[in-house]
Amino acid sequence: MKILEIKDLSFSYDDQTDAVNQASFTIEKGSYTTIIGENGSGKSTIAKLIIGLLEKKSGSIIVDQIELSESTLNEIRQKIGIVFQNPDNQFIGATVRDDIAFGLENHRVEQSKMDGIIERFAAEVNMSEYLNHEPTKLSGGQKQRVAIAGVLAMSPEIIIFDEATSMLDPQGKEEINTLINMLHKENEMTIISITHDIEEVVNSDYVIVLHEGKVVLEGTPEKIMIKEKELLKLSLDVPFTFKLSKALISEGVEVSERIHLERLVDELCQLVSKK
Amino acid sequence: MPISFKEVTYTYSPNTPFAYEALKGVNVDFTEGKITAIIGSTGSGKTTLVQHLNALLLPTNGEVEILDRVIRANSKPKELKLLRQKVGLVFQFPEYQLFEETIIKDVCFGPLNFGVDQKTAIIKSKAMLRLVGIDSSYDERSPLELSGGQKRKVAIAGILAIDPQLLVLDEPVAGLDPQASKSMMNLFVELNKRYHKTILIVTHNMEHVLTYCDEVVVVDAGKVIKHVSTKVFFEDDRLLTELHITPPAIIKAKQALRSKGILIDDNVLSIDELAKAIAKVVNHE
Amino acid sequence: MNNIALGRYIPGDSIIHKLDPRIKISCMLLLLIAIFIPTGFYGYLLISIVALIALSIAKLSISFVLKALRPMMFMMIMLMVINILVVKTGSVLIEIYGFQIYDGAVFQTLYIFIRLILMILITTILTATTKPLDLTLGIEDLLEPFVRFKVPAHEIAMMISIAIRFIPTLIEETQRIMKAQASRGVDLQEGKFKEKIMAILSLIVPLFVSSFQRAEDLANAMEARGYVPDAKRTRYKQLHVRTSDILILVLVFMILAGMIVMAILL
Repeated sequence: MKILEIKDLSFSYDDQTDAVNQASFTIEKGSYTTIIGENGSGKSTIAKLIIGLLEKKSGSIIVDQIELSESTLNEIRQKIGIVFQNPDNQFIGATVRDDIAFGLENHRVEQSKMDGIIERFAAEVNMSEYLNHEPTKLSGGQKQRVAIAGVLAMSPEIIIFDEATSMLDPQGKEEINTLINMLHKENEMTIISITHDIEEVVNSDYVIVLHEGKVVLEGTPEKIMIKEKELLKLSLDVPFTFKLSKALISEGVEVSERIHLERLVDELCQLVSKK
Repeated sequence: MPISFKEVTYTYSPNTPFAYEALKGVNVDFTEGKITAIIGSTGSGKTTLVQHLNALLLPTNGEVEILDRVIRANSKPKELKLLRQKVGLVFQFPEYQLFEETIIKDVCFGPLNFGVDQKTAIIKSKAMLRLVGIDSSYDERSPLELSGGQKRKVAIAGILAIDPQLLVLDEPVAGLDPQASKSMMNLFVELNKRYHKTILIVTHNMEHVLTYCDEVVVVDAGKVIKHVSTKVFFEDDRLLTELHITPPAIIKAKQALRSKGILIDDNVLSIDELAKAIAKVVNHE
Repeated sequence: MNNIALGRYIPGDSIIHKLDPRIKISCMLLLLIAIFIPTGFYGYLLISIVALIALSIAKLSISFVLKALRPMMFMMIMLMVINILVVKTGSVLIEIYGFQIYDGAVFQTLYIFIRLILMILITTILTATTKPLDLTLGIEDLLEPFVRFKVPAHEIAMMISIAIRFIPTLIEETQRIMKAQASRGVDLQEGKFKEKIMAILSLIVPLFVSSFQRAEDLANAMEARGYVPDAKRTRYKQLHVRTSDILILVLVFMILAGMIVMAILL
């Protein structure tokens, strides 16, 4: 079931070049889609267009059968949550509690119900002990977890992660990636992740590759991440496992797995035990 | 020329209830002429340590010897400017330090502060801008017009134009896309091999450590706990696990193979070597 | 930062600390009005006693108060000197270097001095015993009735609380920029005038640029989470008026009434 449809979307910042140029793609409900492309390919712009933070020039954005327009803006913002890149610049409240409350206040949730909601979602992101902490006392990963809690408190169906881990240290990245996977597998949320992390891409359900505002490649990771020539031309990297499998084949070791390391290792073990 | 720390301790906000000892007796001798990675988890003291290299911070105890200067605790060192010309420190996300009207003026800012005359400053700045990959058509434009990655390059050019002997970089490629990341790291290799600059890089990226760095210094809980060559560092599986470090893909691959009974030599550190080694195992069994 | 006493919050758990911020702000306003009622010496004595009692209940030290007064001292002294020399009411007291000093002027100046001190004292008691965010909540609630007159009470409160939230972040950022520029040879101590200007610019411009970026990012985040400036919102933090609040408010009203009576009688 389609939960997001983008048709011929175009947008320009300066009326000269199109940052997004007739982009089209669909997202299936419950899927984990990664969007990749070099900096400047239009990834963040598309994310902002989907939430209506920018006004499209032309094309259509349909979320859960509802077309995005000025009148449907608030409804759509309730269905889609977004976590941005900079952990500090989206932390509004003076404490973790206050920040999660911010979205609830905007949606006119009754004050008496707020504590319960705040505590529930803080627990879901493992920040229960930090409810009264100020942001300056939190790490980047912790702040992003709070951002996620704030988004979850609105019960969205889709969450967009706009390079949400690129400013974090490895520990923070791991925390957030684990959380995202949990949201996808256990909460069955539709995840759209704009990322540079190849491992994340390889483990997603669907990959959309952007270049100069257009969708130039799309498909499952197995289909896309092996298109070495195209990816390199787009200044993107290929997974380590792909490079290794290519090298193995040139050494006469016939392997079929291209992108998942564990499966490649298993395949090699089978080859070894055969002889 | 030495770049060494002798029993250096550093305490933030000493004599207050907020006092925090970030460095607890650091002893390390960085090797001149090499590219050394400084690694450690957040809060280990890496950033505090590198800020001692150009005397932004002065040791609470102990002694720091940099090139021809010795900085001791409780001293009031004079003429720090001379030191700061020799040790170029690039902070994380340095694009935030751009402020001049034009890119060329911003890059000239550093050299001019260190007493270089206008003409020479412009020549050096242009050379560095070309070196980092910024085309001359950008020289007279405002730095604010650039993309994040380009701003990063301009900021780094600004430090290179000072012509330091020792270049210290705090996570220079954080947030850059893979391609920009690669070209930046290759620039540092060039600066080291061709221009003989000693380079220290604080980083979390183990792939980069393996690919580009000669030596590794590990900082943990305010102390330097290891200083070895990159090869030796990645051969020590136990250390990597202890430090909760995600190893580079090739090490992960070897670990995975080993867990299934396929043993690969520790010396194998490139994809081609790994493929050859695996092929040997597959064909000779 | 640590030396600025004027406007600074001092944590504590005195009765005054625990009062509802709306009550405290209202009391402060009432007392400020009371200060300006012309009652002569006894009126000021009454208010001074009230202020000193409040100070001791709030457990604020005299040295803290003196620190709060210090920034204003110079201005006050200038004001008084000018006043004494210019005003010519009453009869001449003494003559110095050709300037005639009238007794009316001396008293008037003294009263100005006392009024200024009392004003600073009372506002300091307010800010020292009330957390900035609680103050903001109090202001928001007190301005609520004026929303119908197009006063953007809620937007003002939102702006103030976001500003407060980012002060520590801005301080950290300033230090970071200072260090980065120091690494490029910026020396705030020495250097010709032009160099010092460049040095300051190298700090201010990056701060401004990053603040604008931050503002944009924040606006996006706020909008994405459903914030609409004019729209109705519920509020997580609630303020509760208790008996002690009402009592103090009544007390202050009585003081104000007393001052008015005194003014009429005297």
